[in-house]
Amino acid sequence: MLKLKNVRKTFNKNSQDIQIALNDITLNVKKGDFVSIIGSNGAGKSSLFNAICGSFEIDEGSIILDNTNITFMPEHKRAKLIGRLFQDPLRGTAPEMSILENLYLACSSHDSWLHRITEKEKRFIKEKVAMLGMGLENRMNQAVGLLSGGQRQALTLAMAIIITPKILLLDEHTAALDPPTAEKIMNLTNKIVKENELTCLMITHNMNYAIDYGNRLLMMHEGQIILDLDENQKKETSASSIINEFKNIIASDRILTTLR
Amino acid sequence: MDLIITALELGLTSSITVLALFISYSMLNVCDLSTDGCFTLGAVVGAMIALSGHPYLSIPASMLAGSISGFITGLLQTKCGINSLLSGIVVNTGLYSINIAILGNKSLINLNNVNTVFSKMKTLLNGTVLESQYKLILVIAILSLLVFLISNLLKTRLGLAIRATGNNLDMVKSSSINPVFTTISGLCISNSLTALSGCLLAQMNKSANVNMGAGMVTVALASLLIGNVIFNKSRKTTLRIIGAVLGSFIFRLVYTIALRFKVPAFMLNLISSIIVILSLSIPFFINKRKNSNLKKKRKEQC
Repeated sequence: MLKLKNVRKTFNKNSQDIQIALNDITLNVKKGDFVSIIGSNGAGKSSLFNAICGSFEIDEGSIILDNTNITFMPEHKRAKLIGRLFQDPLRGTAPEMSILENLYLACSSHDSWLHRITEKEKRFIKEKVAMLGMGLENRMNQAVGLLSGGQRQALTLAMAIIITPKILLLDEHTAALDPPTAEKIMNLTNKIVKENELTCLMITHNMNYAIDYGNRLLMMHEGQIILDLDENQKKETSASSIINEFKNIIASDRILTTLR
Repeated sequence: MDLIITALELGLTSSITVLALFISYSMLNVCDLSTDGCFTLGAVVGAMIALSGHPYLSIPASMLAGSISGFITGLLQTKCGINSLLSGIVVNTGLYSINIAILGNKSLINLNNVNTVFSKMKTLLNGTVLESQYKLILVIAILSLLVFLISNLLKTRLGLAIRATGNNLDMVKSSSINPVFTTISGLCISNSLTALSGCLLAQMNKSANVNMGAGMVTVALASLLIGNVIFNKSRKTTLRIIGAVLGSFIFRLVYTIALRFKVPAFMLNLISSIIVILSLSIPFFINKRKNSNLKKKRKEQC
């Protein structure tokens, strides 16, 4: 489904602050895979997502999504194929617009510019919002800015999948939420991914999520993938053994604190 | 009574500029500083075309000129890496020369004894009871059409996308909408309105000069902010648009009354500056006060 071949990206080339974000990444994600990605800060996890989404152009290599070469496709065009959630729950929705308007924009890419929301589309969007199980379907005309972070993140999730994406990218999407809400959003994500048979990459700093969810686990460090566990290997592993593995390769403070 | 009518005529004509700023400032979140020059551009283009004997053509022609100006402003800030405020200022400066060139190297043009949209309207209403109010009727007709069109436009996908562009750029990109397109089309629409407003005002006053747009952006912003106070945080877009129009009328009314009390006419720009400063800073200070009060409470609790 998603093939990255020898992808490289370096920031601040020809300067002292040279930073290799992606160092020869080759990755092959199969259809229906749910891959969790862990790694310390600056390991290149978000850069990997930025490269897939086209937030920047990569220096070398190619990215192929569902047999389409998207290496040079502009960001807003790739967005049709890719759903993405960020850590910041406010980033995915327009606060002054209503729930209905936000979701409509997410699923309107085939409509003409002068198209107005029809009753049929309203019903369709309402159904999708009801799927979140948060009662938001009765508040369709409310401004999104009045909702809580968890509710907004759930809406962003609904927006990302309202047109089934080829791939769903979750960038620490529960990290800014309080633990019970994070749990709720994670369960919801898992349910939606399974129901829609989505292919999904998830960055997380929560070791338990990384092990409990998904069928493949990647660990990144300094722009490279240093550990790649498949479903069976993942079942046999535990958070502490991964940490030990990681310690063996390199020391990192943030993952350790998360585990504690 | 005459006072109110004059305030209505002027207020409603310039309220078209307020509608333009409603789109660029309130919806698109771009402070379009080319408004002054664009207003004059509409006035001089309209005046020259009316002068050549095509009063009706002057309206679409000035709107087209305005939207070209908006297109350039938009292009500069989306594709040329120029800051949005700066691109407005640059276009504004350039327009000054263009406006003089359009007037044929003059800075003033007279439209006395020239057929304008207003004189056409007067002939049309000849003999009816409405004859004396021909200016007001024409302006109200155009304005209601615009309010109807804009409030409907903002409900379309394009309108929603323009609003979202001013609200959350990331969300627009991830909804596979090109923000360059929405920014440029928003500015085209708003600048064509600004130019229309200038075109009508020039024909109403039967003259156009290269300085008639000076300070227009502040005057319109003041009106817009007064309108925001009337319909405080209303969610209904149509109400907010009507609020903007009312704001413009109120602003002109206060100004006309001030003129009556021997406040010199050149004070208009100062007054509008003060209104803008107050209406933007007061909410800021209120907020700050609230926060510092909260802080005090928390300190006391500790």
